[in-house]
Amino acid sequence: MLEVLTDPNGFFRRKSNAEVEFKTPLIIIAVLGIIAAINMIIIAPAILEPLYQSLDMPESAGTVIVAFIAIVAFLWNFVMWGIYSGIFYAISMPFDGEGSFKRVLEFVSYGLIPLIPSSLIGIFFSNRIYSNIDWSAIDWTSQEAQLLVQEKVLSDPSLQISGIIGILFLLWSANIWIFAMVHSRNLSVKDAAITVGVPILIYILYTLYQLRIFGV
Amino acid sequence: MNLKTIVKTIMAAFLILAACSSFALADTEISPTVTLGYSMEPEVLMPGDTGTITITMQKNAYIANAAVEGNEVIEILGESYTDVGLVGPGDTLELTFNIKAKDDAPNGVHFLDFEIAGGSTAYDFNSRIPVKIDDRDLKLIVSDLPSTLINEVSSVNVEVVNQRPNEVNSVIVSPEAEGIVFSPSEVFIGAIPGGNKSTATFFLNTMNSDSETSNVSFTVSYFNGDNFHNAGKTTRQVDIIDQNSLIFTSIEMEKSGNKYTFSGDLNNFGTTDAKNVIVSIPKSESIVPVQPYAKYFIGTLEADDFSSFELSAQVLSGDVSSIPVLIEFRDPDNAYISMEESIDIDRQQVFAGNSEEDSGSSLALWAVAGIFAIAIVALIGYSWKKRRDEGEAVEDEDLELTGE
Repeated sequence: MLEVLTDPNGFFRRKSNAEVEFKTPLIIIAVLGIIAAINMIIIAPAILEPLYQSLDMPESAGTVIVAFIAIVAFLWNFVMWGIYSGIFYAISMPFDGEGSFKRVLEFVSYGLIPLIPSSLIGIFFSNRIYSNIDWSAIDWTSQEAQLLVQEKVLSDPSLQISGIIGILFLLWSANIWIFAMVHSRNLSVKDAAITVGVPILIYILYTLYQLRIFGV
Repeated sequence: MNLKTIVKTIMAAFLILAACSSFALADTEISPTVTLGYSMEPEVLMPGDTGTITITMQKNAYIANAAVEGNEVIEILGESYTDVGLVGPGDTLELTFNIKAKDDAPNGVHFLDFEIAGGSTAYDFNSRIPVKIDDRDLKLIVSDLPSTLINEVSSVNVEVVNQRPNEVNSVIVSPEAEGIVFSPSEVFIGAIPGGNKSTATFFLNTMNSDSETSNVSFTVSYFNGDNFHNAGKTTRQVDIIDQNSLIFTSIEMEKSGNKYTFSGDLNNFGTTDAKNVIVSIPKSESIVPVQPYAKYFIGTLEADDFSSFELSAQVLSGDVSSIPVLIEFRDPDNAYISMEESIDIDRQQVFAGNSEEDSGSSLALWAVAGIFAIAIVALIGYSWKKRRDEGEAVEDEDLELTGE
């Protein structure tokens, strides 16, 4: 399976001859989901604890909320899998792409493998950024305070580095997705590059804008 | 001359001699010896003062009248003594007269006439009693009052100089100023001998004073004998600056969650020692002091000295931009004083961490990002190279198949 990371073209060429199977894709997405859930379990209590204290909520209620957030984070990866696949499928339609959505779903999931190390690195950076913030000292009723926190988080060099590393892994994923689209929708490399490149480029530009990389 | 004639002649001579002797004794009684003494209270009068002259007399005779006559400078209060009576041999008679120096009495020694009128023998006695008048007053010298004070407890020494030649009693020094609390409010010195001085020490509390210019006045009251006097005011101008005497420096703040730990130095910028100094963070809805450093006892903080301290508190609200610190101590007069300073929590401090440390680790992280970038670019390049190789292999395979 790791062949997809080094030789996606060969991997998908061989896979396209086989039947569509969702066992491996589901494992990949589940791993991503678990990482996202762990990330939330680490981050959420630090942010939410002061909120519980101010609302006089019992500790058990806090645990339930954190568990709920972790489940949502886990499931959100499945949603994102669908969204990525849907966008690529939709963009490939004008290029007379042939191939089922199921196949696109299957192949797109392999493109998410680079996001596993990316997510693990993300946990490290999230912990680093969020542990530096005294969430109890933030007045959530004040818009100014919220903007200050947002500004501070977004301008944190750790977040910028984390964002850049995330973009690099996304480019790696995009590279895999290009070959995934070539073989799942029977597109030329050029059409597949446009199909994957346009939304990814938009996403990357938006991320760079958010990270103040261009000083916007 | 026979023996009888001789004896008669000798007896006659003795009789004449005896008669002569009795006449001599009667003369001594008619002209008695007088011992006179006097004392003044107070010893020296001020113009307008009243005082007493006590005349002590030893006279073996009958006294009909005793009187002191006033003059244009000194007035005699009360009447003269009449029909005093017989003063026996060895007896002492004290005659007291009230006198008053006139308000315009000049300085110097003035003499009063003292007269004693005898009885039937019509013997009279005259004498002059000197009375000193001196208008020199007490003087206050404020030697060490600073011209500028901060919000502090400072001390001032006031020297009370008795310029008079005689002792004054019940000397009391009183300070007065707007915006300054004095401790003690008055100082009782007691008696100051002539030509001497005494010192009164006051503590000036300007802890709660606003920035202003204040006139600090000292007055002294005393008694010269039974006469009350108030010496004029001695006034100094003092500028008060709104600056606490105990100030924080070198404050370092550590944050762990919502718990803040402060450490730093408390400096005594004032001129007097602060005793029993204790610093604490007062508990409020949004700030809760945390053990073990909810309070920190420093002890005596001498003037121009400092001491380190440590405090910790939990901040429960985002509205808190500074943490108040209560400083309690006792001034040199043991009076309790409290003041409040505050330590700002920079809003940026919501985000903890050392910037230098951050920049160092950020550099390392950027290096890691660079390594990732190289690795990923290499992997992407490698995947395209593989594709090209596979393409060429497929083309070669096709050519071979076509050739066949």
